[in-house]
Amino acid sequence: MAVVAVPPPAPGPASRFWAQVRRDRAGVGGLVLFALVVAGAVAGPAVVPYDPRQPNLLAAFQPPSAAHLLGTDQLGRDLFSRVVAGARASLLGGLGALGVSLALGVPAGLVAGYAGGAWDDLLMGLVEVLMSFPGVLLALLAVAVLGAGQRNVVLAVGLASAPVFARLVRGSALALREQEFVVAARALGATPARVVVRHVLPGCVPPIVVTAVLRLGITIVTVAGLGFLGLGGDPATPEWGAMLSAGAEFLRAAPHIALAPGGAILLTVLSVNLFGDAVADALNPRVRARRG
Amino acid sequence: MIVVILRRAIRTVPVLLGASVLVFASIRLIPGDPALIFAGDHATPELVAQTRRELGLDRPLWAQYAIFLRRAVMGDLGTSTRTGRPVAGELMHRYRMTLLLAGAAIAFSVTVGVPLGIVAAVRRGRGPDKASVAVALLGVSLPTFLLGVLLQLVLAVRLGWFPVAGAQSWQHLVLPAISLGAFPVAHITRLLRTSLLETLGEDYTRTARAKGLPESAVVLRHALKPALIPAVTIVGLQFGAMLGASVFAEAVFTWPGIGRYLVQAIAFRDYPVVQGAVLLLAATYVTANLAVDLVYAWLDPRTR
Repeated sequence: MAVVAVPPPAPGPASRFWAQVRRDRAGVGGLVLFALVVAGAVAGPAVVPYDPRQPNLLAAFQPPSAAHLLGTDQLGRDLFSRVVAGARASLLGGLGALGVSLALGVPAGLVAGYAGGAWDDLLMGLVEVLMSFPGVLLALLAVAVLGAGQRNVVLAVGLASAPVFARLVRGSALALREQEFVVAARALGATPARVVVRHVLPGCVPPIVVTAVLRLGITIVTVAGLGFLGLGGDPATPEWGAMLSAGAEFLRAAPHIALAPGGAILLTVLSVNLFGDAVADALNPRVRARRG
Repeated sequence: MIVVILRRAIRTVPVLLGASVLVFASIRLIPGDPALIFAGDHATPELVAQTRRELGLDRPLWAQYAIFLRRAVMGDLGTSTRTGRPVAGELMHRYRMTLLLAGAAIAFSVTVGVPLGIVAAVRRGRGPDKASVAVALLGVSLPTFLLGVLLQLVLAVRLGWFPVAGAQSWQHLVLPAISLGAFPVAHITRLLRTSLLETLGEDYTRTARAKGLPESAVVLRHALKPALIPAVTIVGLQFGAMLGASVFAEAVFTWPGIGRYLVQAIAFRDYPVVQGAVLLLAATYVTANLAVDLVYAWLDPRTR
């Protein structure tokens, strides 16, 4: 029987991307750590040993032990359960805020960059005004208007990040508008909406992805920060920022109450940043050339 | 040069106006009667009526904005619904405390970040360089409020080197300034390392080396100065960003700054204070960014 050597299929862009990310050891470490946080967020409330919301004053302020891995807080709630359950609020908060800023920023940038003219002036004027506020301040103003509460905090942080994406996408769209394939699509009679969605938007995806992964650390921190300031609403809901703030009251007697959520915040943000750097490097052609 | 300054300065006017429109409009978006919002939930009917007259609430929106803007420019930011005192007076002292904190934080980040950046570039690829990467990564991954709590735990509660909270002496300034300044340290270090590596490869650096100058003089006298120009930009921009991030340091250390006051005002729905504080901080931020551009233009002969 003759053996025909079949060449392996050429790696697609996606597998090349993963091969690149895999080569970055710190990035892989970040990804593994991040996967743990995601697992906690998904399975959290179902697998934790205690009800994270149920106070038990007889068990308050206990240091870490076999029964309570991370100890108990000032109301006797199990800190391990609260930290694991809190992954959901922090992760969903950060991702939700990122989603809000993409949903607002990307269309605005596409319209400004592709349509140009008055639309561009109007939208970029708005972006410049929004950028005349430090990001945190803008989020605080939005919370002041919307009212406190976790959902409003997420909206506010998303709103504060949106100008970044609007400006980024506008730049890409502006460059793509004059490319031959876009001009050709226009010449063939495609509607502007079709040209933007089918031809301009795909070209904007790599920079959007890079900025989004680098931005996730910031949105998670800002959402947790507003929770720390007491703007996240219901204090019974496990949320790392609010838990850290509550624990900071008892640093002398029971530092573990602050350290447990603090460690969770640090590890999550560190993992997101490590992984984000790896993704950004893998999508950046200059870095790729240097390594390849 | 003067033309450059004027042109840049004039460009900030529409941005400032836009910011004031945004603040004015946001507060008007809060559901409810604006007269009640600005007079406070427990105001007497007379006070509500007086507020309505003062803010011109019976007149069209653009006229209300004109009244708001004229009063803001004159330094009249209304009356706090919580304390009944003028907002401008309440803000001034706290504003100075925030500027003091941000200034100290910048001083800290420059004192630590510049040497770290130099060492990382000169010892490129070796221990100190790798350590600086780790420090930078930790710096961007430790949010101000978390670092603040950790510093409080170790240096104040455990070791007792610094007071836990408050603002009675210069020692009270140290921990909040470090927690606020750590994030820029990371930026300054990385940026200075990159730009110093660039200038170390330039012709004029090679010339300096060729004429037999010791390496320290080559780095400090010839390569460092041009490499500092981009760092100046970062320092200025970070100072602006601190006006926002300072909220967290102020909350951890109960520093009596404008950020902590703003968060309290949000909790108490004291909207005149919210409006005034946001406006003041945004104006400072825009001015700081303007100053950065001007300093940059002055430092970099190519833009002169």
